[in-house]
Amino acid sequence: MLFNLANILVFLGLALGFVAAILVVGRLVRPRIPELNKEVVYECGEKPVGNAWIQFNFRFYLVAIIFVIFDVEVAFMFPVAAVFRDWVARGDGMLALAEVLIFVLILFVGLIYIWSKGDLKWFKAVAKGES
Amino acid sequence: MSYQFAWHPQVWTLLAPMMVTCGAALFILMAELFVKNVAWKWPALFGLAAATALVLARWNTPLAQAEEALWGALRADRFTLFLQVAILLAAALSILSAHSYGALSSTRRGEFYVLVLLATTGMMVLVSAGDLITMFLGLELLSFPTYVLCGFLRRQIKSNESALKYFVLGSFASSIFLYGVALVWGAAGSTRLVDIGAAAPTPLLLLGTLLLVIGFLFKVGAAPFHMWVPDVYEGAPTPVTMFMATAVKLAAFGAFTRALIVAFLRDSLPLEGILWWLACVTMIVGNLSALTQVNIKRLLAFSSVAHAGYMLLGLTAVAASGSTDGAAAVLYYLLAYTFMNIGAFTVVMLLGRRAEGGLLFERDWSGIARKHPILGLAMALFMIALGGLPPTAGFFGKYSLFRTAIDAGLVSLVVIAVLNTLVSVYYYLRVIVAMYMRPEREPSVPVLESAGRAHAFDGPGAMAAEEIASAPPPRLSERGAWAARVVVLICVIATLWLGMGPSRGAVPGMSRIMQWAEDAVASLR
Repeated sequence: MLFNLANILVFLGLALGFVAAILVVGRLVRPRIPELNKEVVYECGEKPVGNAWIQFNFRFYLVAIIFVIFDVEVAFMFPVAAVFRDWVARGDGMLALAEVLIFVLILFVGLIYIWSKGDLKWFKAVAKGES
Repeated sequence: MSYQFAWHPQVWTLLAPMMVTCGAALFILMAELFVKNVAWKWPALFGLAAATALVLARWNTPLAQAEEALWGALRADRFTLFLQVAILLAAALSILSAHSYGALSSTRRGEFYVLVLLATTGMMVLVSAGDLITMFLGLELLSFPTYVLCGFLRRQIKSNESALKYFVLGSFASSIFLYGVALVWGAAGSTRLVDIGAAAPTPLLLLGTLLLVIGFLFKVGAAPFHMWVPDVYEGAPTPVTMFMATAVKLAAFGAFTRALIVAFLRDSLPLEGILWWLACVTMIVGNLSALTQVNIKRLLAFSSVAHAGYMLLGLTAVAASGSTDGAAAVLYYLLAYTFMNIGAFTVVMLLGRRAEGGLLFERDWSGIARKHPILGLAMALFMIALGGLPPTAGFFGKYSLFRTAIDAGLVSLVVIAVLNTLVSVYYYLRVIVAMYMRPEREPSVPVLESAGRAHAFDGPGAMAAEEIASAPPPRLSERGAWAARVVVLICVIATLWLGMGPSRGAVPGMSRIMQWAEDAVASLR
């Protein structure tokens, strides 16, 4: 039990160390050209100071939704990964693989759709006469 | 807890209808990107027909062999088959109607059929679910496409309002349902309906059950969770409204009935009194609110609330007597209601010539029966049927509901229901009076009203709202009107045919439908 907790601690340490290492490497590697805009607090393209009642560009929502879909896709694959070995041992490995592939395929259809509709581009051309 | 792995070929036959509708949806979604100018209703209708055939292919399986798949997550008993056929029928009729609705049937609109097919898939999952998690999955798969469908006319402010209201309230109801699932799981240790039915009745189980009931009542639009119904029904495109009023109701009532009978209706859980009051309040609120409506779609929306009340009466009878006759009457009523309502909404679509415009029936529809005698007659029939007068489906549906309720000893509730029916006849007859006994008038100008509403907005969205409101209302395509007429004809025939019930044997095949409903409910236990 305690050993499991130690596992988590190791992961925590690795994660923190990784973040620190990346920041240090970035500091060493990147060119340093200071500019006023770069000093501003980063808030996803919005001005960080001012009235909170502004209208967000709706493209943010679109991007967020697309992100959430594929985020959830991965979240749903974790349970399958957790039991996959049992299924293989029972001889049902191909079945589990097929199920996951069907799942991914359906989401892939969605990806092709939004791609083809131009929703992956930041600036989308709006078709004339669309109602 | 370990389940024996049971993935045998029968699972595929059970899943096949849902895979076909889902596959058809994905096919249209993909094909639409590469092929233009295709009437996408044909692939959609073909998918629905294929799914119906697959459901019917299982019809003659003996009742005892009601099959489970995926550890009881899905059940293919007669109850499932009955409701799946009804849902597929309702979806097909809505798609046919939508063909006559210009804004939905233009060739770029493959999305409309994709959404209808996906919602249909969700409904089929919902009615076959034997597990609360699967039920939630079906409920969500049903809801998401329906939210989008409500807002399908995205330049119409009312359509936007409809979608937003339905989405916000619907997701709230879904989360209440999910909370109920969590509590029931905590109390019973399982999400399978059969296991819950055997679990010890604790206060926690009762609380979870009540939350689940709220989730279902929201979807069927029963009081006091009906506030969204008139606004959403009014703003949604009419073919979508009829789809929501019939198919969604079929699915939600079906799942509600299954959950009650399999898991929650037993002496230890005091649901009878709650259902009694819900039925009573829903009937009264629906009918009294409908009395003052001037817009035909709002009138039908409140009438659909009232009808949910009548169906809750049937479920109360099940709770009171323990016999499942009440549920069979509910199934029959759902089927009858589907035809009456799809017919009525299709006529609304055809008579409201300017699509979302001429819906104020007292003003716009006065004397319209002289101009459109056949449609007027059909509308009169549907109004009579919804009011519950013979010789229509509505009469026999109400008759069997009230009879089972009296058998269960709910005399006072039946008295309330009969009084409500009398009230409802008044507002249904108002439509007929307007169509037949008033002089003809010039139709109103519909744009003014929506433009006035746009000014209610202020803030950054105001400009967009005005732009939306000034978009011309969608036109009814004259060329595709045949499809809606076919739908009206089918609904007229079905409404009359289902109304011949009391004379069992006189009409071939009639008594069989009631028998199917009884078999369906019997297969639950």
